[in-house]
Amino acid sequence: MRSKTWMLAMAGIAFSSFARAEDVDPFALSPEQLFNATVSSVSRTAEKLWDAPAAVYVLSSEDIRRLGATSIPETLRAVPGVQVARVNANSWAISVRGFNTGLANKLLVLIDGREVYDPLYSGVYWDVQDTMLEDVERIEVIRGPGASLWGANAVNGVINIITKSASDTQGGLVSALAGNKETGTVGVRQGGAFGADGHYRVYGKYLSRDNEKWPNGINGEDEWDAYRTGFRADWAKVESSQFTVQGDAYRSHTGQIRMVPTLTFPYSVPTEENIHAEGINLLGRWTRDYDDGAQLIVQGYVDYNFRNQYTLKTGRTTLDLDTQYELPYMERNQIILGGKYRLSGDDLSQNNTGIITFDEANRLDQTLSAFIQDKITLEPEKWYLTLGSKFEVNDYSEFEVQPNARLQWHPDENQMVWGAVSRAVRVPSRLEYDLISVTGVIPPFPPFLPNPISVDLYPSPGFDSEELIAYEIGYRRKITPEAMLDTTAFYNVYDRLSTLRLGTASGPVGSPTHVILPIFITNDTTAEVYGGEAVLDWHVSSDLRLSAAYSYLNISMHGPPSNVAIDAEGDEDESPQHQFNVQMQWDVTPEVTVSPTFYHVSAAPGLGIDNYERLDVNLEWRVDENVSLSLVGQNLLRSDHREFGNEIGRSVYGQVLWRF
Amino acid sequence: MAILRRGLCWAVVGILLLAAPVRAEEENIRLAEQKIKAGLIYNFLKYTSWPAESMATEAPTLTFCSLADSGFDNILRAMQGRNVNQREIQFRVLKGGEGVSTCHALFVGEERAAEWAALRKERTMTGLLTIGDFSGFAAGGGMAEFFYDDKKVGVRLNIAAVEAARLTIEGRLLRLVTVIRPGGE
Repeated sequence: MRSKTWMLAMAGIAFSSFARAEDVDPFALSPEQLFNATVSSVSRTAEKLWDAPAAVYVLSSEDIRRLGATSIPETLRAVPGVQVARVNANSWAISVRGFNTGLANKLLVLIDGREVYDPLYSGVYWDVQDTMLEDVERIEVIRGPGASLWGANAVNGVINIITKSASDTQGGLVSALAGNKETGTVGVRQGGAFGADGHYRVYGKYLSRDNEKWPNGINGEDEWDAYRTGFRADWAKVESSQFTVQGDAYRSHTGQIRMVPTLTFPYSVPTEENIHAEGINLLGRWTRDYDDGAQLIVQGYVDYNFRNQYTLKTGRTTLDLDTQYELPYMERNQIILGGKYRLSGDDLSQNNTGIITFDEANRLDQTLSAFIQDKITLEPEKWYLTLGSKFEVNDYSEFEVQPNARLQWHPDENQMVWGAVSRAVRVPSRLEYDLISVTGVIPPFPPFLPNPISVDLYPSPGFDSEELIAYEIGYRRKITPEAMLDTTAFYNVYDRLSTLRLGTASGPVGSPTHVILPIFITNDTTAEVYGGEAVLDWHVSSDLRLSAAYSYLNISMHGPPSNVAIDAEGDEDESPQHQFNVQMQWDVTPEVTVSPTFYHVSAAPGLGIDNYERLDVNLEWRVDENVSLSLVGQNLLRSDHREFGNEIGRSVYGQVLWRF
Repeated sequence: MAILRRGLCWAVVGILLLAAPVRAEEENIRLAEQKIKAGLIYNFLKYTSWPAESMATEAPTLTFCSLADSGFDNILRAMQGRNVNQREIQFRVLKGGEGVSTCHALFVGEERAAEWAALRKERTMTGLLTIGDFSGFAAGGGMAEFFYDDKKVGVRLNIAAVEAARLTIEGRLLRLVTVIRPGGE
């Protein structure tokens, strides 16, 4: 018996000497053990820019600060391939690689994984996305489809806004700015810790901005003021598991002058419109890293938003659940798969203006999507092939498949070449299926047109998804260790683009008497768009960084003639062909930095916009380690210019940043 | 019979005992790449000697700075407060080049390679141990460069750069690295 106990004890000692990988503290290992250890998973940091077989541009938090922008849309001006046109004080028309309107519908915008795209209007309301810029970690812009693992509607690109983790925003921060156009913005944030390794932050922000002018000089009634508050908490309950919970609530008042169509003279009346928006969202995410290199992410969020405009009130509640799993480390394959379920319900009510009407006040839409992607190592360090596809089932179109293939080649450690072919779709929305809206009134022109004509957009449930097949190539080169060149070129073939097709007029009817000309949305337009972007980034010295970016865009559209459809080829001239910017980040002394940025944007004749230059300068003085002061001038070259709608004026503001 | 059985037991125990320690050395530890690199950085801090002038005499600290991305920083941060050779490690994330003169050791990640290149041209690196995570780091004047070879992490060491900065690395670590002399390139 004693000998048996001995044996068991010996066996126990023998077996316990086999260390388990999960429990190993790397700092307790000897150098011999470390050099001898087998790599179980290759590092998964945010995929290095250099290695990405896609047109990616990243704005770091340092870049965002240096640009002196006061809102996310303004930071995007610096990104090649992105068209940013400020419509008025509170809204922007933003698109990637063309087709830019105030309701650009081919761009997916995410904030920490939450979509901020409004399916009713097929666009992003930037006036309610005013996160505290000081808490933004980076903004990734991916031009082209297929690079996002998620969703239809990422047709032309994805803008991924990522906020700092709570552990990076500890302590207090107060940011206050005021100027001639920025009538006052204050943001306060407090971060702290809880439990063994949890961190949180809470913030509040108030923003106000002055109006811009209408093209004829009158007040554009587009002032903006907004309140926002929110929080974020990150913690790890067990090792290798991370949890995040975050939420925001906001209320915003903006306005604009809307040309309201009427059936009596003058048939289009400039009307001051007050827009009220509010919303609240809550998101939770669990990330689990396994020692064999696998990773599982589960995320869910709820988003409620409400908007009251001249035409109607909309309330929308969205529930979104998604999971993503990366398979354990394999030598030649890196496989990721995922699934998403989305439930979105809206509640519409008219504002007695008759501009927009609808049959169902409420609609509940479901979307189920999945993706799979495999990055195959054809030859280690040299050739990689990525194949993937997204699949989607939704209430508006048939089963959608969006495959993509990417090939990358590293001729040597200083160069990288990639090519990609992808298919993407833009799924129809309630806007096309359900709403009747008066788009304009054509005044009478006796004796040919005795009555005014009301041009009404009618529901088009036959509208199909728009489709894009994109061919892209890219070349990156480290010219010297301090300077990098990144170039891309693309050729996009669009099919089934939305076309406003004229129906048969009816009437005269009604009082006042008018003729109704219905228009339907059909898929009768095609287009080819080609272009490219080039970026040169040069760290001249440790105090000076220069970067230059150029984008070229050429759009050719083919649609039905004007007796059949309205302005089918209009988008051809509505995006600027050339965009160029130069940025300098100069540390004059360790305390004083100067960062000017110069932009040139060519004309958009279809919108009546001339080419324009723009100069922004940010002067920052770090008074001590807790306080810094900035003086920022935007649009310094001209007193005002139009980018899309209203005249955008010169803005100068001062900012104080205080950490405690 | 009993003697045979007892003999057998002891034989088994003997084999297990003999096998166990041998196994422990050859045992295959599997770790994520970043953890291996973090462990190696820690060992570099442990087995390097700095010139006397670069070390404070009372309550000396070893300032380890990082020019990398926040994902790896979170792993490196665990070194904060640990002691090597009676000095406490202070971990700092560098934003740009400022403050590098207060660092005893610097880690550069691939994403910040261009900043490092600009920084290196203008500052003499006496008393600064530099470790980088991208190809070309050692050849370009850095000291220790990680490389990935057949599922293990290796280090290329530019010994001339180490000597020029008046640092000394102990033989135990030198035996495990691949020494390179980029002077001839």
